[in-house]
Amino acid sequence: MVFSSNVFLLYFMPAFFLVYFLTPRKARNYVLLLASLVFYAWGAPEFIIQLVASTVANFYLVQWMCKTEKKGLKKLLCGISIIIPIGLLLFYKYGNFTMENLNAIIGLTGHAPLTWKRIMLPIGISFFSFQSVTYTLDTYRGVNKPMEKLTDFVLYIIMFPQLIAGPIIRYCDVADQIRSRESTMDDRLQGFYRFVIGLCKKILIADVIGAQVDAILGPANYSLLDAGQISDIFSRVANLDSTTAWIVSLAYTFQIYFDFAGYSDMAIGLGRIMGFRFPENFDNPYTSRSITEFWRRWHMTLGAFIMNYLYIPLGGNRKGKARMYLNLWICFLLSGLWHGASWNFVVWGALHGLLICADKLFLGKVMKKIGMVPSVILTFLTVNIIWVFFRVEDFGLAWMLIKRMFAFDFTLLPFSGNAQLYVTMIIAAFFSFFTLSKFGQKVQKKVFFTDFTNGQHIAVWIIAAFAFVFCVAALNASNFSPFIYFRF
Amino acid sequence: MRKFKIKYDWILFALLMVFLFVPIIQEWTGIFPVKPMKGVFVPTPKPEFSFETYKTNAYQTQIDKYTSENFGLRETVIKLYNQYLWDFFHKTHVSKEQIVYGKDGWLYQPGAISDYYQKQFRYYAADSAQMASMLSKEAHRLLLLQQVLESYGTHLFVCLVPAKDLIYPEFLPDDKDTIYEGEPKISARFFNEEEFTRLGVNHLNLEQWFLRIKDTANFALFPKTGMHWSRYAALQAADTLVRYMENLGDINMKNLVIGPKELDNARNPDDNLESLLNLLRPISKPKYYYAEGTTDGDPTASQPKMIVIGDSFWWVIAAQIPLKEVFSRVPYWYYNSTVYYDNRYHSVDELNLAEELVSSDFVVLFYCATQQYRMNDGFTQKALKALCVKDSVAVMDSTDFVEREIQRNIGKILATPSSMENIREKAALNHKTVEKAVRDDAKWIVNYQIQEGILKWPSEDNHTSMDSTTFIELEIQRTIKALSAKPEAMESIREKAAKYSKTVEKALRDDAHWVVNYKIQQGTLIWPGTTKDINTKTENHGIQ
Repeated sequence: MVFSSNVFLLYFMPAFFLVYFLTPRKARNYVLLLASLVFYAWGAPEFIIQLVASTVANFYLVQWMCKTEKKGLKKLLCGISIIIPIGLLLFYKYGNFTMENLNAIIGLTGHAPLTWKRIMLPIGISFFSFQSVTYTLDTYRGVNKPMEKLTDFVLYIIMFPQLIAGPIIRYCDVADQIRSRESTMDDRLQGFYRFVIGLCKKILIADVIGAQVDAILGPANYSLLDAGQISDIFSRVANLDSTTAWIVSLAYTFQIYFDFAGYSDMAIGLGRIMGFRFPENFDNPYTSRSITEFWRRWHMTLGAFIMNYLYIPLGGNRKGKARMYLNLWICFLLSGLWHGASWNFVVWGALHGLLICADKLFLGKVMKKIGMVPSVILTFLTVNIIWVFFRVEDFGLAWMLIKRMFAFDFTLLPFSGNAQLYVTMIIAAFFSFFTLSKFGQKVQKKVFFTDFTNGQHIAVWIIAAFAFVFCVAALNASNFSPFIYFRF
Repeated sequence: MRKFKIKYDWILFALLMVFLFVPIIQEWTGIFPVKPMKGVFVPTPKPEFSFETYKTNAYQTQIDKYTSENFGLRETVIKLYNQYLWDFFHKTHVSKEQIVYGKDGWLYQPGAISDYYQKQFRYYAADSAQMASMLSKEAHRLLLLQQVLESYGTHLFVCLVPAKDLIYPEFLPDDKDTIYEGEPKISARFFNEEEFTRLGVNHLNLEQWFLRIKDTANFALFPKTGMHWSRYAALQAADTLVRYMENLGDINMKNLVIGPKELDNARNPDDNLESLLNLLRPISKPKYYYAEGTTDGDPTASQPKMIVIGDSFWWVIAAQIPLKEVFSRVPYWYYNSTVYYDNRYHSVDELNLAEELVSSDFVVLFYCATQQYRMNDGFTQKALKALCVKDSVAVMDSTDFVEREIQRNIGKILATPSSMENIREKAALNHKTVEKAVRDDAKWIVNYQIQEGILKWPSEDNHTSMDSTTFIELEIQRTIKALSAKPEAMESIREKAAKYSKTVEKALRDDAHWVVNYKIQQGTLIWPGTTKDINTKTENHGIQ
């Protein structure tokens, strides 16, 4: 189940909140746990058993790890507890990728390729495997005590608001909230407003722009296309003028931000309705003045995870500059691979890693010197170009698109017919760079982080309700295309 | 003050919960009156839960689809979003294959637009030459079928129904991608008109008539936001159609009487394209003329049986004139597939095509200009097969054949000094080059030979081997029709029916059966595949 679906918006969410708030406070975690199981079982029926089993196993392993005084056993149990979720992640997410590459190598030797049954990727596995790791390591490091109740731990792992697409919540950030939390009326209303903001980002901006990106670049995953369809995409891209090529790349840059940030907003909003305070995941990343800053603002919880559980264990900056650069690069390479089991994600991560290193070496200073506006524009355009490798699985096609962008055969495109795309992109750009101004920052602070007065609540409630209806309308109108008569 | 705020929070939260439940409440109770969506679509059936469908996610997918079609207030929210798209971006989510938005709020079918720019053939053929060949073959098939049916007393004709794009091109959009720059182009409407005239295929070109009256007509020929001709224009077209049939069949039919005009807001289907947009408020409110279609009730008039094979333009006529008064029966084979106005069948696949055709007085192919690339949905081929006539057109390329014949005649003309002398005179008179005049003459000869049946097409025989039952049945039908047309024969049959306590229909059939048996015994009925043809009209028409 995804948030931007009728089943969730019109049935699951109202029913869940009704039952949740009618249930006595002490039993609410059970309601949330049950709802989370239903939520996950709806989307990944074949994986729910493994998810619950691995979570239960981890819970008892960590309990055992905490109780034992033997250092060796402690380490062993910690290792097993990490291997279980990471093993599932490796198997489900990288199984196909490994086999494909292995077969490519075997093919070079002239031998027959290995056969295997393709593995379906369970939704949310990248997120809950990382959360499981944070629990084990935080407990091992003594940052937090282990959960006393199994149900609380399972809830931490599979809590539905953040199960599918994050934010990645460190155990230490949420442990106390699971045990006890307060949900004021203000929280509930502000949580709903935040949810609606996320829903608007997803449905009214990301989906609208995404449809146009797909029209040119085809679906994100080319494995479902036949050779003819792929060839059509190639010829479409090869014939793009530079204006369209830039529009496509910029459209994707906005699409991915509003899609992901929208989902995070919805997760944070849903959590807040129940009294959870999930960490922020995005902080206006396109206003960054360097790639380093971009990564402090983009998918912040992943950045924090990589910093705490990969970069620092690798040695961080404590082992000399050369090692620091290597560590940084490795972190981004793996971060790329975490986003998707395909080489284009690795390239995307590697490019970001290289630019981070360049930032540390000289680029950061250059960016500071040239002033805010040029540095923001340069950073944005760099991120925009690198996104091409994230979106387009085929290197040849990605390179072709970039070449079209720099072919400098710009044409004036007609506004009519594309008006919705252009207007949506202008809105997306406005909100992406809104906080560059002090006024924008004030508005953001007011909307997200300040309590509302009664009058403000009433006004925002009405706007949010209308926006919610509008999102449901957009979600369903796009699927309704009737005929005058049936033909043959 | 704080206490006051808390109260507000509570109220707003309670309202929020109610708000979230509104769709569910509406779905269960239907408490708010909601107008249904317009247009047709295939509803998703409520999925049955099974562990297997759940495991494969099929159940979840179906549920999502089902709920998206059935949640409370769905109609209102979709219309809300459509209105937003229309107001701000002049578009909706209605498939581009359904509607194109013209100037000043005019709506068109995309098929009409691509046809206006003569590029629609690209959906049916690789290039214009192939399209021309296909249309030419179909025209020849029509001629063949027309001649075969004529021998059974059935008149086949084509009604070239007007399309909105040609009548009102001034409101077509200016988008450059709708204009086909490539060459060469072909338009079925013009090609067919020329080919039908040349070959002698019976046809009524209502589109040309519409073009002629466009500037003088004091009513809308096509509504602004509708796909079909306006209801009033359709009434006028029906009147013309009846007159044409009277001429073609040499019969007297009941005259259509068009009642006094009444100006009113658009009535269905005059706004059918707009209604498809499912907007909250209308694009505009144009008024159209409406009138009632009746007949003069002439008791002496014939009520022929007519089969209509065509597209949805016939609905507009069928909904307005008293079909039962004008025709004895008028079954409608929608796109040569679904059967309407005939309780016996649902689909053309169920009926006996040969019997239906020969028992009818008229068969009309009633397709709009944009649909004329469809080759009558295979009707002619099926009909020829059902009537056991070899569709030799299908195995030859008419364009090549005709061109070859033209070249042969050019050679002949060039080799005949007297002909050349004559042609030089004609060329001078008509301001043509001699080459052009020679070719025109050669073309005229070939056309004449085709029409007169002198030119034999490259085929071996006219008829496939026919099973005797079908052949005899067709002959019986032909005889029934012949007997029915003779009052004295019918008088005798009525007497026999009364004497032997039969129905008149049964007695008529028995008599016809007897006549056919007699002919067989006397050797006067020639079987197909033998040297003589089954009828004199088809034996010389040449095009098989």
